[in-house]
Amino acid sequence: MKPVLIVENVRKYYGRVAAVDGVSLTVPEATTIGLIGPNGAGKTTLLDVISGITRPDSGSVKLAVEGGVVEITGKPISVITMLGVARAFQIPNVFDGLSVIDNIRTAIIASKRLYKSISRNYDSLTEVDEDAKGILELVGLYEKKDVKASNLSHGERKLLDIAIALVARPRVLLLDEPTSGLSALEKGRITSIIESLKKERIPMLIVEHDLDVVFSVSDRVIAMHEGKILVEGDPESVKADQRLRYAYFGE
Amino acid sequence: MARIMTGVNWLIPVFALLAVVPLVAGPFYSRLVATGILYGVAAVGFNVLFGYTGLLSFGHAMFWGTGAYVVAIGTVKLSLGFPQSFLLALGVVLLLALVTGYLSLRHTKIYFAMLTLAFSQLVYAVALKWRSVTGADEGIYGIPRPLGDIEDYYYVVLVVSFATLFLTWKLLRSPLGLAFRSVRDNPYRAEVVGYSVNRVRLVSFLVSGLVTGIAGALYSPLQSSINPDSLYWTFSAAIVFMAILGGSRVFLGPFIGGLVYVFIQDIAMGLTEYWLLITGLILGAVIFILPSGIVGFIVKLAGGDEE
Ligand SMILES: Nc1ncnc2c1ncn2[C@@H]1O[C@H](COP(=O)(O)OP(=O)(O)OP(=O)(O)O)[C@@H](O)[C@H]1O
Ligand SMILES: [Mg+2]
Repeated sequence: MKPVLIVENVRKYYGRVAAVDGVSLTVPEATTIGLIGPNGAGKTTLLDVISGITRPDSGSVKLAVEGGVVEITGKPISVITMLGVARAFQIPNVFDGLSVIDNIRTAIIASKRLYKSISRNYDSLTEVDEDAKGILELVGLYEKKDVKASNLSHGERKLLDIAIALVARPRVLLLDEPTSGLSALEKGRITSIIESLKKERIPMLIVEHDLDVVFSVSDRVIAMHEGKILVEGDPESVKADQRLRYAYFGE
Repeated sequence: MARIMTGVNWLIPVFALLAVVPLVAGPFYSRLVATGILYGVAAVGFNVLFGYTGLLSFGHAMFWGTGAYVVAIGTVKLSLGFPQSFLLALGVVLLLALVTGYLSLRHTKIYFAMLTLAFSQLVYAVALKWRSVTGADEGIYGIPRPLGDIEDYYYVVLVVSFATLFLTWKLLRSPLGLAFRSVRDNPYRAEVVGYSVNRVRLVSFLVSGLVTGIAGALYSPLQSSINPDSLYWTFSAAIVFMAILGGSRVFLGPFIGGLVYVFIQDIAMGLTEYWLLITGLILGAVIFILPSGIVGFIVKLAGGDEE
């Protein structure tokens, strides 16, 4: 299948620590890739490089868009976002002083460049509010739409963060541990959201510690260890690979 | 509730009340209240950047003073009418905001504050040295006042201030205003949802400088004179105080802060030559007792949320 996201030989050092050490991978269209690995393996750093938050020391990231493939390494974060790379965070990253719905509204306003319509009230844009309602219902936060984000529970903030990433149909969606710190109920909600995004054929790169979740939602799994790709393949073969056990438990 | 307390609904009763002042008070108090209104507008302008966008400028006197000086130069030295001088002032203020904003916004937090302070001191130095244009330390005298009397000009101040506040409020309620607040709350996330944070901040800086500049441009005809004190850093500090005094998380907070500030200053000046010290003490006490400011406190009392 046609690749949507192409990561080529990315390296990122923090001092002498090789956080990401020569990683290459592709996310093909309509494919969900699960990225696993023990703490400190470099998963978040890799997502940060892809979304433009961290500049790699070497290597490149490319994105397939209409009419070709563009290199996105070194471009400003907002430009990469507008090109279609959406991102949710390991630690909830929301707008604390805004209400739940305003968090979604602002993300929609940014993605549709509606900030230019200065003659209108931000909370009377019907198109925006319809979309916002749909997204909040999807993550189960619609009842809390008027609550300030700072007053949400950890799990709700996590859901809100994911909701923010879903406002536009992304070319590729990067989720960093979407179920960490969630209750069983919230976890179920996230897995079903991922399933429905899969049906919509949205390419995803999902970092996840809960291996049950990863192996059930991913089409392919990549395991990282100390900045390098250790094992790669379909869920069954990766699950069976002894090197994985070694990376996690050092046996 | 929040919207009723802090929104445009309160702009009308507050201004209706202010409209009565020249009818019941003499020129002294009319001038004092008009000054308070302009201080208030200046502080609202400052607060677009501070309360709504999360950037502390310590140099807003440069926009106030530049507005005031350009009107003075336009009317006195270039013999332009007030409307022309006023428009010229807005143009110059915008240009100044564009240059100083572009350069200051390479940094945030305290570095940003220090850069704005540095630029404002630069403008102050220009006003102090460029004698042929600015009159140096003596400033400019005999600035004609549109409509002549203070009591009449008061209504020019009132109407332009009302329009400025109304438009500022509309802008803050627009999608752009939400972008400002998003950048304030989490610039990092704002960038990741697709805002160019630097550009959003620059736009806020321009609006902020312009609003403060409008207030300044109305100020010099009110006083019929202007001197470099209007550009000095102490006035930048005063603007910061007004915003915090009234409440930086409520739209009208800084406006009320400006009005209250003028009265505190006037009373303290009448009491003692150490008025600056007294003013500082009173402000410190108010902020200590009411950390969310006077209006912020009232909003909370009434059970409303801030913003
Ligand atoms: N900003 C930083 N400065 C210094 N070192 C960093 C920084 N970010 C990450 N590292 C280091 O880089 C390595 C990879 O970290 P990273 O957060 O990418 O791992 P991870 O796979 O996401 O781990 P986890 O599962 O705990 O989230 C770790 O050794 C970490 O300490
Ligand atoms: Mg991580």
